[in-house]
Amino acid sequence: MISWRLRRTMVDKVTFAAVAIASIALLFVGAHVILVALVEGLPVMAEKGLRLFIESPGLPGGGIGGFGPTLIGTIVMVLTASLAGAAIGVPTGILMNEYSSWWLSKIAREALQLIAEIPSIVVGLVVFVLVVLPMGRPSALAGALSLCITALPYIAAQTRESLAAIPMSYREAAFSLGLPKWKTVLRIIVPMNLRGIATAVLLGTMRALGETAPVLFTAGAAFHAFYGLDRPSSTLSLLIFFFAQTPYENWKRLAWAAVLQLIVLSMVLAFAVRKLSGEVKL
Amino acid sequence: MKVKPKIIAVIAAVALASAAALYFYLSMETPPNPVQLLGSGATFPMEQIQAWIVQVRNKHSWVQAEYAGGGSGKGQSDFLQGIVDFAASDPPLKTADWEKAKNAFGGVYQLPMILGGVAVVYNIPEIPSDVNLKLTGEVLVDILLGKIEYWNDPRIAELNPGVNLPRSRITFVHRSDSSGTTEVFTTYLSLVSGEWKTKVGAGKLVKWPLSEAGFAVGAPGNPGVAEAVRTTPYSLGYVELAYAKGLGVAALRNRAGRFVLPTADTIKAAAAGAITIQDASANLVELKILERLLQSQDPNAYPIVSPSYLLIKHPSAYTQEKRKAIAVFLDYIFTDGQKPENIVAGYVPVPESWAKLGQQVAAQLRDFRG
Repeated sequence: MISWRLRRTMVDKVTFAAVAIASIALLFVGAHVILVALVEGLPVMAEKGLRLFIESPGLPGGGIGGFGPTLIGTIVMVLTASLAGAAIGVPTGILMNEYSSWWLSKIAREALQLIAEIPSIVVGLVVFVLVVLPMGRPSALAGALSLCITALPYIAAQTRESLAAIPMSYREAAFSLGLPKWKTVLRIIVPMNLRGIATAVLLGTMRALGETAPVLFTAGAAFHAFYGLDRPSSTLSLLIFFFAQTPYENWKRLAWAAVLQLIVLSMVLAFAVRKLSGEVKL
Repeated sequence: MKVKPKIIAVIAAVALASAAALYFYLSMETPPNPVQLLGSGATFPMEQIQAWIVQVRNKHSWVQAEYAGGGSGKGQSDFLQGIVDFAASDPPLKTADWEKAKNAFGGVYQLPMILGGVAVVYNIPEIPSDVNLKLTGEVLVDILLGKIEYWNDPRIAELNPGVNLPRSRITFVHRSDSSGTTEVFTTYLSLVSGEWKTKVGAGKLVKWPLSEAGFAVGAPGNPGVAEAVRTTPYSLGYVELAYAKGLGVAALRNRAGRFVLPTADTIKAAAAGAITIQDASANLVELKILERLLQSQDPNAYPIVSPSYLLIKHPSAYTQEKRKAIAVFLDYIFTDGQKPENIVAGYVPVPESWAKLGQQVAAQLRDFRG
C-alpha cells in the first residue's frame, strides 16, 4: 500500500515538475526575445531619439539614419489592410454565426479555411500576379491587399467566435417581441458585441503587422520616402528582413531598432485586445 | 487727408516686399517634379546601389530611386516583365532573355557598374587572426573534390610553412540558394581545373562532390555562409568580400604566381586588363567578360573578381520624365559614383572605359528625342 501511495506522489511530483519546466521554458523564450530586442534596440533608440522616426536609413557603413518612411508605410498598409479586412471579415463572421445553415455561409467557412491554410508567401505571389503585374509596379496598395487577405480569416473567425458566446436566450427574447431576424442581428446582437468585433479586427491588425512574406513581392522596398498608396513602399518587418542580412553594422543596428519598434507596436495591440476582450458586454 | 501718406507708404512697402518675394521666387531654380525609379535584382551590389540612391537624392532631390534586391534572377524577370525601371544582375542576360528584352523594349543596355571579389574564408581556431592561409586554385579544387580531406594535408602545409595546421577534417560551406557568387566561384574553379569543369562545371547551383560525401553544408545567402563559417570550426567557404569581415581570409595564388588577398587594390589590378565593351546594347554573353577577368595575368591581381551589371531599357521604352531621371541617375553612377569616397567598403569602381560606356548611355537617354 505504501509503495502505491509513494508511486502516486512520485508521479504527481514528476508531472508537476515537467509542467513547471515547460512553462518556465516558454516564459524564458518570451523573455529572451524581448530582452534581446531591448538590449540591442534601446541603445539605438536612445542614441537617435525622435529622429529615428523621421529620417530614412543611412548609407551602408555610415550613420544609422531612421525608419521614418517605413513607419509611415507600415501604418498606412496595416491600417488599410485592417479596415478592408474589417469591411469584409466582420459581415462574413456575422453571416457564419447567425445564418450558419445557409449554403452561402458554408461556402464562406470553407473559403476562409482555405485562405487560412495557404502559406502567406503564396498569397503574396497571387497578389503579385493579379495586381502588381497589371499595375506595372509594386505598391503600398498591393501590399495592403495581401496583408488584408492574410488577416481576413482571423477577423472573420474571431467575430464568429465572439458572437457564438452570446446566449441564445437574447435572440429568443428579440424574436418573441416580433423582431425579424435581420433586425435582431443588426440592432441587438452586433451592438451587444461591439467589443468582441473590435477585438477581432485588432487581432487581424496584429497579424498584418507581423507578416513579412505577403509584402515581399507586393509592396516593393522603398525605404527612403513614402510616395503614396499606389507607389512602392515598405513595412517594418520588410526593413528588418532586408537590413539584418547585410554585413554593415549601422544597418544591423537600424534593424534592431525596428525589431524593438515592432515588438512595442505588437504589445500595445495585444494589450488593447486583452482590455477589450475581457468580457462580452451584456 | 493726413492718413494718405501713411497708406501710400504701407502700399509701397507691401508692393516692394511682394516684388522682392516674386523676384526671389523666380530666381530660384524650380526643381522638376519628383520622379520615382524602381529597381530590383542582385544582392551583391545592393549596398552600393543603396548608397548611390542616397547620394543622388542629396544632389538631385527629384530623382527618387529605390532598389529592392531579391537576387539576380528576380531582377532579370522583373525587368523582362516590365515592373521595374532598372535591374541589377551579376551575370549578363542569357542570349534568349537578351533577345526577349530587345523585342520588348526595342533594346537593352547592360552596363558593368561595380566590381567585387569572392573571398575564400575559413575558420581554423589554431591560426592567429594576423596570419592568412595561403591556397592555390589547384589545392582548392582538390579540397572540394574530396582529394584533400584534412587541414594538415602536406599540400596545404607545403604552401604554409610555419603555420600550425590541425589534423581536422575540412567542412565545406556553400550557398544553398541559386547564387551569382556560386557561379563566379565555380567558373573560377572550372578555369583552374579541367577535371572540375567536366565533373562539376559552373553555375548558380552545382552538385558539390563533398555534399555527397557528407562534408559540405549549404547556407542561404552571403550572410548565411559567413555565419556558418563563423560558427563551424575547421570550415571553409566563399563569400562576397564585404561579408568576409571577422573571418579568416585566404590569400590565393594568381596566374603570376603571387599570393594575394582580396583588397580594393588587388581587385582593381585584376580589372586593369578588362576588355573594352564597344556597345552596351550588344549581347554581352558572347564577350566572356567574367572568364577574361578571372584569367588576368597582372602580378597584383586577385584571381576571383567579378562585375555586376545594371540593366537599362532603350530610351524609347521610358516616359519622358523617367528617361530624364534615369539619365541623371546613370550619369551620377558613372561619374561621381565611381569616386573612391562614394564607394562602399568591399566594392571597387569599374575601369575607366566601362565608366565612359555608362556615361555615353546616360547621354543617349538625356538627348533622346522620341
